[in-house]
Amino acid sequence: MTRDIVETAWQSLRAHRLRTGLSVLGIVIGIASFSIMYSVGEAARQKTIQALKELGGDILRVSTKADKDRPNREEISLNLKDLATIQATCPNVLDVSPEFTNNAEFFRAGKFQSFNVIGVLPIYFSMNKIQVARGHLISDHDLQYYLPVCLLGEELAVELFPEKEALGQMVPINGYLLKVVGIMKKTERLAAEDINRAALIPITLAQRLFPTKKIRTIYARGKDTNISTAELSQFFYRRFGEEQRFEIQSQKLILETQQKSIKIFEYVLWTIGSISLLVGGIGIMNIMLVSVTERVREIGIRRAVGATKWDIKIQFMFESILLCLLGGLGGATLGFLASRLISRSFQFSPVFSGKLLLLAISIATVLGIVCGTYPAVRAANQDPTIVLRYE
Amino acid sequence: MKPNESLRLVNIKKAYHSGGIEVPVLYGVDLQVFEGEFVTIMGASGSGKTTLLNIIGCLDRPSSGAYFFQNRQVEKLNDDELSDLRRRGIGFVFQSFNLLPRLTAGSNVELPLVYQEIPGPRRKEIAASVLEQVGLKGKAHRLPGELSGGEQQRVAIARALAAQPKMLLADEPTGNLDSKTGKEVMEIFNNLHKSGLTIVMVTHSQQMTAFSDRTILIRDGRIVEDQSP
Repeated sequence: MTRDIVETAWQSLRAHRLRTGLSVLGIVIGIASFSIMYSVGEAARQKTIQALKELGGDILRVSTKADKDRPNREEISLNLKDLATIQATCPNVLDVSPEFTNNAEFFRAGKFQSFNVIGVLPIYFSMNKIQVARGHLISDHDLQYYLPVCLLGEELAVELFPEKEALGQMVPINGYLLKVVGIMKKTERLAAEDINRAALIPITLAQRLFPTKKIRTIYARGKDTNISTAELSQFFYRRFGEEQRFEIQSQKLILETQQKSIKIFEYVLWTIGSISLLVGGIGIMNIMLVSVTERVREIGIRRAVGATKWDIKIQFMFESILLCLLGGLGGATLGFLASRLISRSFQFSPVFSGKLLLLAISIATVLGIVCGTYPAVRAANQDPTIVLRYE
Repeated sequence: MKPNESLRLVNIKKAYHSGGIEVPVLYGVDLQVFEGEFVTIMGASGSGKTTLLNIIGCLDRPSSGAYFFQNRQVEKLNDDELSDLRRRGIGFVFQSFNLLPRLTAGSNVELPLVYQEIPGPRRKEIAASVLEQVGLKGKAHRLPGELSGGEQQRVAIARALAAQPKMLLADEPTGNLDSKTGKEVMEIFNNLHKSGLTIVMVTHSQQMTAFSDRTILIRDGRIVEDQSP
């Protein structure tokens, strides 16, 4: 009996392939949205947690900012002496590392491409957990003698030297040639500049190569983030006499902000998914009602040969469930493909579990029952005497 | 010895409601049919013969009166019990065949057996044997659209016979057929009658009455003649 119901429903859907396909579209989009929301959202969350674990939540990022009230006023900036002062006056701060960022350009495929050149101290590497894949890091010796050396991020290395090994080559930066002494391992650093596409050079050299010496971002690591923040605030207040001209962010805070944007992304998909499922469900109900109207004679014949109202109800109900299940599976597949595509551009692997597939199937089944009930009842209540009417 | 009663109608009245107005169709029909009889009900269109057939076939209930089928009082049965009665007791043959176009001849014949929850292999056996009985051996896999009108009607007869009913109910079974195939179909009815099956047939054609042993004439919702030849 069950097999007959399944076969009948399947045959009926196959007989109207285009109609079946179009009517499940809403469900497909709805379930796909939910799948993407779940898999991408979950992956992004896991990535942030991972990044937090790698970097440690105890690193503070201090950056100067423009004066909102007087936009033309120049931003405050620090120099290397200030860093020494911070170390001396903030007992809770263990390490301070500047990030002196400038731009350089190279000519490739008919146009100029720009990349970040970041002047750093060796302490920057340990604070940001930077390691070399090949070669070696910049040393105190390089710094002391202003040696023309640089470290390249993995992506930049490939861009600059697509056909050969970048290590040992010379890179022109602002008119000077710098020797590549190391290629950095790819990192998942979320916080600031994308160092996978940057060149790191000794800060002393950077301040000579570029017209400005102004440092606008520093990283600080302390025993306790709250005390460090207070000490750093005090320092900046003493140094510049004003608040509001710099901000201190912990890595944790930055990650929390990112979590918030993930949440927004999820809400948007949740809304799209819910609306699609609602509209899709109405579409299913509509197509089932059409199907009932088209098949009054079939229903009459089945009733005449002995089908009960329940038999008819089950038949239509199952057809509706099957329709929604097809949509659900289609949606899960679409969601899976879309998640992979999205993840590829954001560089994390989507979470796609059996649990998600089970959830999609459950939602589809419930929707099939909800949307199929009324048409099924209508089908069951058709007058069987139609079979004796001749048309 | 008197044969057993197959069905009995006692003062059956039926009226339909149309736009708040009561339209009476049957004005009190009394009829008794015995097992093994071949009864033809004749009447012009609008005489109420289809309504009577609906009631006899347990597809509809009378407005008043009593209907006994196989000694069960039909108008007191609920919907599921009526379905059960149709499933086991009555085989229908219609003017327009009423086969399901997407099912093969075999599957159409199996349909009543599906609702009796007979397992698949057994259904196939039964379908093959009744198809053979109506002369359609080997055509079980054909779709109705691939069969001639006469063949389709024979599939419909096979379907009616599959559940081994107590009574065959036919509504203008030759109405859509040419006279030659119509005659072939009537030949099948004749053989079934000879083997002891109760048959009630509705027609408006005088010629068809030749096959049956009793003709009932219905006019304006009343039986006006009941004769055995």
